[in-house]
Amino acid sequence: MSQPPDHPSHDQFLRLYAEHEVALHTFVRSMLPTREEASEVMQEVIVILWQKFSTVAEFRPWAFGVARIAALRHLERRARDRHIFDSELVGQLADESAVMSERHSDQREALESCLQKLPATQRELVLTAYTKGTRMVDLATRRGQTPMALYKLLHRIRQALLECMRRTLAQEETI
Amino acid sequence: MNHDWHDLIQRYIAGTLADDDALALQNALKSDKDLRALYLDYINLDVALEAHAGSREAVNEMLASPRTEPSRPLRWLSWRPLTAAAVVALLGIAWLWFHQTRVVAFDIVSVSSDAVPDWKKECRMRTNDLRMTRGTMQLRLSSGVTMDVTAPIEVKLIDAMHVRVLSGRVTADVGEHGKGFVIETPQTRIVDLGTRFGVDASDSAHTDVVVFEGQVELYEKGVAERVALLNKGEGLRVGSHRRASRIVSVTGSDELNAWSTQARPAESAVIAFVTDSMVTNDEGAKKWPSLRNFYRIVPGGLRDGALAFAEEIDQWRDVPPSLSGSDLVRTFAVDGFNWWMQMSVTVQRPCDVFVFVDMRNEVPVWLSQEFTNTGEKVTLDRISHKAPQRVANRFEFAIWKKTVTQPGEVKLGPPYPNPPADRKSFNPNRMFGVAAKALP
Repeated sequence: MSQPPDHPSHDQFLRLYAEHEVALHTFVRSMLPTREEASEVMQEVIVILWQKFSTVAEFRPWAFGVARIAALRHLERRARDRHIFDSELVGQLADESAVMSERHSDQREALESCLQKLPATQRELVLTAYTKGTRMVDLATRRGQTPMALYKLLHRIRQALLECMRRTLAQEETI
Repeated sequence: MNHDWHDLIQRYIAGTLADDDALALQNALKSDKDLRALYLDYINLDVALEAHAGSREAVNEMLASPRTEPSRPLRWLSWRPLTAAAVVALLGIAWLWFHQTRVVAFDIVSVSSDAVPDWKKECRMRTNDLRMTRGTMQLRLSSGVTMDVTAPIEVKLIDAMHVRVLSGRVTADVGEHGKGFVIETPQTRIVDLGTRFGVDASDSAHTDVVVFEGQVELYEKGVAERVALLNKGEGLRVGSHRRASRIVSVTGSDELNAWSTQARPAESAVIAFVTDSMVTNDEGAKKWPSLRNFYRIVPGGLRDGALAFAEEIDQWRDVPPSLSGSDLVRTFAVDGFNWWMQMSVTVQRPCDVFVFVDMRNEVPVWLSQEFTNTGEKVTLDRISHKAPQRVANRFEFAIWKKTVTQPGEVKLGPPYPNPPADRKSFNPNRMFGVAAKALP
């Protein structure tokens, strides 16, 4: 049952959801093959979390449980599609994603400085590529590149960012 | 066959990986834990870049559009409460997601001239890192939360409802819309429940949290379980591994960031420090002490209308002119402790120490032996919480005095001579008041 918007739980829900949202999103994304599907499932998860929130004692484990079920249901619905990992691997990834959330949070924090270390044109490119509504084909055309060349460049940028984030964390751990 | 796993993972994430390669990736992931960690790191990067790009877009839109008045609530929301609740929640979440940003906008309410070059009052700034080596600044986040920061300080602004104080002292004044505002420090996470509170992370070994209005929740870093709820007039020093101890005295006026938990009073101050017998020596053994009240030392703070207690809104009235401008100690009352407590006031110059005692009470022996009744009085106005403009009751307090010729400690005993036989019929006033004035 939903609650009126001025109920104290509303604030509490927003606070808890905001605190765990990115970790939840990463968790869902780890189980699903595409960004769009992860967003779709997250919308479903938000509604379920809000509807059932008042009866919950511990938010985080419950929210991850809800997200896991929603992602698995989604995968079941499109089980015959190509490019989907089997349920054994999805289960492994979900388990490991849940315990890596602190490391991932630290990595996200390092992303800002890693982005700053990129040449400005590369930084602009990667953020434009991730902006909602951007189509790779259009972006490649605007840049006078083939889509394949653009994909390869983005791959290199992401790899550089990931290595930077991992390196930053490793340095912090040794201090 | 050799695979470029970085390439395969990225193509899988982008949805462009061919079936055969996807199968090869799946088999490798199942048997290789490090590869799964790499895959999950890429997933995390993908989500983070999406969020980052989204927040950048939000900032760009904000810069492009003029400020608008808050719109009226949509009419249909009022007659479809259930749907409205979900919509309001989703809008709130969308707002938080939209603003979950590394670049946070804030308005400068005031700034000292030595703080940051080119930062001026009423300017709107956008940054996620706030570092100051000099000066003070008051800023207002888009959530309505006002923060006072005093250099040296290093703060990371996560979003309008969440900041990380890496070092330094911050006071947050959280309006109605800022409820749920979070300050993180290296030792703890503080969630505001609609209040005004201070955080001092100047010392890397611990964080001091003091509450001036309302309540805050304390959480251990990385743990969802609340470890303490602090009320107005309470403070804790939080160290690592959930160690915490009571903050016994806080010095400073009521200016937003003019407080300090450090025992380094200004040279002009008369009272240097206050403590009591309720401080446990073995702080480690008592990780979260149940008594968390602090004494507030206000240099030169005794005047007509001065707040009398650290956790209440009662006021001292009819202050004799000879005492006006004395250093004031706002005490607190905790039944069950008052009967046996001893207080210690450390003064750093020759002075008169004054104790205000409720005239309805029997005079404690320690007071009559060591202090002199001046014959003067001060009035305590008990203020109604429901109607703060209304005085609910007035009580007269006798002013007792002790002249101290050398800097040092002055011991005070309990405010009541004996615990009452019948607590129900006894309605004592609160703690005594304490003040000190330098000798001419």
